[in-house]
Amino acid sequence: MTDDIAKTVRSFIGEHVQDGEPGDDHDIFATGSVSSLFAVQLVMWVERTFGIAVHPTDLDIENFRTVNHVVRFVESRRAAAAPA
Amino acid sequence: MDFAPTPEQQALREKVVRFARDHLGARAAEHDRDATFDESGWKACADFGVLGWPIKKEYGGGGLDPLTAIMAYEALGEGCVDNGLVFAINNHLFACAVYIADHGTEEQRRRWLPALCDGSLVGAHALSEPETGSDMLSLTTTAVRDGDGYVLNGTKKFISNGPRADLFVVFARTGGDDVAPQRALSAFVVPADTPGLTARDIPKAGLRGTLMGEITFDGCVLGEDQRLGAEGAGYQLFTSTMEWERGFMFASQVGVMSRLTDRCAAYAARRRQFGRPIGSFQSVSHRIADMRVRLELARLMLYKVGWLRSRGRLAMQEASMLKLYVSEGLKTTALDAMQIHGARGYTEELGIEREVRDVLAGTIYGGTSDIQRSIIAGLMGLPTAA
Ligand SMILES: Cc1cc2nc3c(=O)[nH]c(=O)nc-3n(C[C@H](O)[C@H](O)[C@H](O)COP(=O)(O)OP(=O)(O)OC[C@H]3O[C@@H](n4cnc5c(N)ncnc54)[C@H](O)[C@@H]3O)c2cc1C
Repeated sequence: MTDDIAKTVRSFIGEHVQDGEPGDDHDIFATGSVSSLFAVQLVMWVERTFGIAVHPTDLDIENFRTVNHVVRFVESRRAAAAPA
Repeated sequence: MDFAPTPEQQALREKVVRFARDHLGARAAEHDRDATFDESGWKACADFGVLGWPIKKEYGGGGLDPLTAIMAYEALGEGCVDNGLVFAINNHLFACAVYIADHGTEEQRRRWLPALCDGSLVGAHALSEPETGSDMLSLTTTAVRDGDGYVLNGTKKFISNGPRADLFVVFARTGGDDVAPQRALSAFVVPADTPGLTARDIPKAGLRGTLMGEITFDGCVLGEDQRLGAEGAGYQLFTSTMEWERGFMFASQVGVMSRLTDRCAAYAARRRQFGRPIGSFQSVSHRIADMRVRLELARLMLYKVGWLRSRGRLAMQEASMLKLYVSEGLKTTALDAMQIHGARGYTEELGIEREVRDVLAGTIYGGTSDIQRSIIAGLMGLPTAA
């Protein structure tokens, strides 16, 4: 499951960063290689692609700065939404 | 899906329109002519709760949910003919108070929000600079670390409420060239009486009841407790809170659209030429029908933003679409209203020319229409420079 999510996230981010597909721990916001809107674009894509609700309080770059961070965020949201 | 307001929302709407018609705007023409802030209208709004509707009760606000608050501000815009006063309130709330409510520490909220809600402090938002408008990431005002705090230097321009404000939310650069632009900005709460802060008036075409200013920070010393959010989080903070400005600030504009549409319908039924009401000429009635359609669409978009926010959901793209549509649509409606009223619309007699001047800036502030289109396209995945 994690591998599938990581693959999807890696490919989306790869399409948008200027220097091609980054490593899973590469901080995409550290180098200015994405447009100023990309953070929100990524959040909206995560909502659509993984069917989870992202709230204004989640708009923290910490949740989205690397492929691994996004994967962890998606998994935590899915776990929270799953029936006990 | 339910398109009907609740009975409570409907009652609040009616109460606000009545309050605004009875207590606000009687001297709108004078405030427009003299470019003066309506202090007594401000006080009346504070007493009625307008200045704190969306802020939690524990901080002195009204605790309204976002959708209900949006309906209340729409009603304020409809009932209050002094667009300058309403714009001052919008800036105070959606560009200053909500930043503190959303991102302030408990101490900052307790310190500033009660006074912003009761109107004893007037708030403002200082982002734009002489050389930095749409491209906010390139702003040059700096806040340089100095001991436990910062020293703020730079000039902000076109700041609504600026010359009258008591409190500014200021965006400044805290990161150097080695830091990514999205991490280089921070936000600060800065009182107007901070040594080194000066304000200069900027005269303008409309919304003249809201004073506008150029604000200079010359070596202003700030404490660490004046920073909103983490150092470097200014852009994030702006992005997540801009929904308020783009969505909620335009609630009152939908109210203005409603007022102008009603006025045109009434005038077209009353004014006679060629032996019949001008509303019987199709070119006039169709213009009014188009106004009504614009109003309907604007209202649906507005309530959707309120609905999303009330569910704790993001409304970034919806808020940009709303801002773009309402500001452009209102400009068309106001110009059509002038045309329908003929010479009486162009002269000062009916206040329509003032409405036209007041609505023009809506496509500029809060991100121009071009920038909204870029955001909408960007959020659809298209490459964009902005
Ligand atoms: C009534 C009013 C109140 C305001 N209040 C405040 C306030 O309280 N606080 C504050 O900080 N600022 C305030 N502003 C300033 C406002 O935010 C700016 O005017 C706005 O961001 C645009 O910046 P600019 O005027 O410098 O125009 P510029 O950025 O110089 O743009 C000029 C023109 O170029 C176009 N343009 C620029 N970049 C692009 C692009 N990438 N793609 C396509 N077109 C582009 C714009 O759409 C515009 O038509 C206010 C402005 C007005 C008119």
